[in-house]
Amino acid sequence: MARTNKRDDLLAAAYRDHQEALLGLARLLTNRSAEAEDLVQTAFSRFAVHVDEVASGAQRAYLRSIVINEWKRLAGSRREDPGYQPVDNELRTPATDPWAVRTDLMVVWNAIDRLPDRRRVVVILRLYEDLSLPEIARLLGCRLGTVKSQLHKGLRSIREEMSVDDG
Amino acid sequence: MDDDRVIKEALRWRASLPMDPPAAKEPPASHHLRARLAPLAAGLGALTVCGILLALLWPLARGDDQGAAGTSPLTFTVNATWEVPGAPVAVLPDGDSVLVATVGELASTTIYRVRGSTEPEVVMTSQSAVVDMAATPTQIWMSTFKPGGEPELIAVDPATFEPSLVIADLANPIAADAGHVYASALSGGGTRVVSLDAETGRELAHYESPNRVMNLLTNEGLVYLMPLEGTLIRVLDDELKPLGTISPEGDWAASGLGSSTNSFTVLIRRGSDAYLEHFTDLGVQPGWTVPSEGGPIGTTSQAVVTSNGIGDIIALDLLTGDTLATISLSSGVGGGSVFPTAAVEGDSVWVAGHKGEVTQLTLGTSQVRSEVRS
Repeated sequence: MARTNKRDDLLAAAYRDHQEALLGLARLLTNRSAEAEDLVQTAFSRFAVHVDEVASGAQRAYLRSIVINEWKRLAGSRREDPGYQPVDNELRTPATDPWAVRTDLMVVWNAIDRLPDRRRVVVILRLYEDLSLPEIARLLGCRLGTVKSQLHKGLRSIREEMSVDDG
Repeated sequence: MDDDRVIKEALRWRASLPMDPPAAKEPPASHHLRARLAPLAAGLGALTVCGILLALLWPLARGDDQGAAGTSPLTFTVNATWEVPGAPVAVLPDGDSVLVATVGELASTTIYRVRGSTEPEVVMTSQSAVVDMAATPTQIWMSTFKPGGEPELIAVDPATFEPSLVIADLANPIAADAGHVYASALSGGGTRVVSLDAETGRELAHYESPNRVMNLLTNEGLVYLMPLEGTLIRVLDDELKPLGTISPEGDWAASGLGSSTNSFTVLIRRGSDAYLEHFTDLGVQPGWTVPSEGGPIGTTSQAVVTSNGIGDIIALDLLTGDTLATISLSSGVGGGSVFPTAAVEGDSVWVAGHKGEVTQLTLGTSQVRSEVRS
C-alpha cells in the first residue's frame, strides 16, 4: 500500500541528497553517532513540515540551520542542568577500531573536540562546511568579529596541540 | 595552510566515521536492524531474503499445516469482563490475572487484581499517582508521581504489595525484563534512560537521549526508545549501548510502538492521517502499511493487536496487515503502548476501558466460555 505524492517525493529526495552530509556535521558537533542520528532525524522531521516551501537550492542550508540550532539548544540545556553527566554511550576513541585507525588524524580530531563549543562549531562550519565568515555569523546569530576571533583562537589551539604532538 | 589541510582532513575523516566499531555490538542473530534508505543493492537483497522467508513461513504462520487453502478464521472471544471504580491508567498482565491501576480523586491510585470468576480485589492503594507498571520475576515496578509532582519509581512485593524499593526522580515510561528495569528521567534537554538491576535497583547503565522519550519497551534483550518528535526509534542492547534504529519513512510523528520477535509495528501520523507500519528486521521498506487510528497494543503469535481508539480491538495479520478479527467494546481504549491501558500476553488481550470496564479477550479459532462479573 505504497503512498506516493509530490511531498513524499521531495522529502525522499532531500533525504537522499543531504542526509549523509548532515550526519557528518552532526557527528562533528556531538562526537556521538547515536546522538548525531537523532539530531539529523529531528532536522528532517521539522523540514518535512515546510518541504513544499523550501527551494531545492536552499534545502541544505535550511536543514543545517536546524541541526545547528538543535545542537545549540541541547548543549545549552546540558550546561544549565547541574544533574547532567555526559556518558560514553559509544566508544569515543577510534583507536580501538581496527578498520579506522589513523592516529595522526585522531590527534587533530581530539584537539578539535576539546575546543569549547563555540570555537569548535566555528572551526567546523568554516573548514568542514566551507561557509564564509559572514555566513557563519548569520547562522550562529553573532557578530562577524566574534566569528573571526573564535576561529583564530580555535585554530591556534589546534595547531599548538599538533606541534606538541610532532615534537 | 598545511595545518588547515590536515585539520580539514581530520574533520572529513571524523565526519565519515561511524563511532561504533563493526564488531563492538552486533544485534542478536535474529535482529539485523535495517539502515534507513539503505543502498539499493542491500535493499533488494533484503527483500529477496524476506520473500523467501515469507514463502517458507507463510503456511506455518497461517496455521495451515496441510498446505491447502483452508485456513481457520480467527475471532476474538470475550472470556470475562469486570468493572472497577475509577479511571484505569495502566494494566499489567500477571499470569492468569491482570493488575489494573485506577486513578481516583486527588490523583490517588487504587490497584485492583482481576481474575477468573472472582470480584476485583483491591491489592494496593497509594496517595501517589501510578502512571505505568512493569513486572520482573520478583517485583512489580510502578512509576509514580507524588502530589507535588515529583516522580518516584517504586518496587513492591507481588504477594504483599509492600514497597521494597523507592527510587527518587525516575519516571515513566518504564519497562522490565527478567533482569532489568528500565526507567527514565528528564536530563539536559533530553531524556536519561537508566537500566536498573531487577533485584536491587542498582543502576547498571544509562543512555542519554537528546530527545524526549515518550515510550520505552523491551523485548528479546533489546530496548526500544520512541522519541516525542520524529520517528527515529532507537534500539539499544540491555546494557543500553546503541545497536541501531527503526525509522519509518521520513518525517512524521511516531506515536505508538509494539514489537514481537523479529518485527516491529509503529503507529505514525502524516498530517491528519495515521498508519500502522510493520517492519521486519530484513525489510528496507515496511512489510505492510494500513490506515489506523490506534497504536499497537501487542503481538500474538499470528497477529498485531491494535485499537482504533473508540472501542474496537482489531487483529491484523502479522505477515500481511490484513484484518483478521475485530471486536467492539463498549468504551474507548488508549493506544496500547503509549497509554498502557491494554496489553497482550500470549493469545490473551486485556483491555481496560475509560469507564472502568476490564475485558479479557482471547484471539483464537475456537469459541470459549463467556462470563460477566462486576
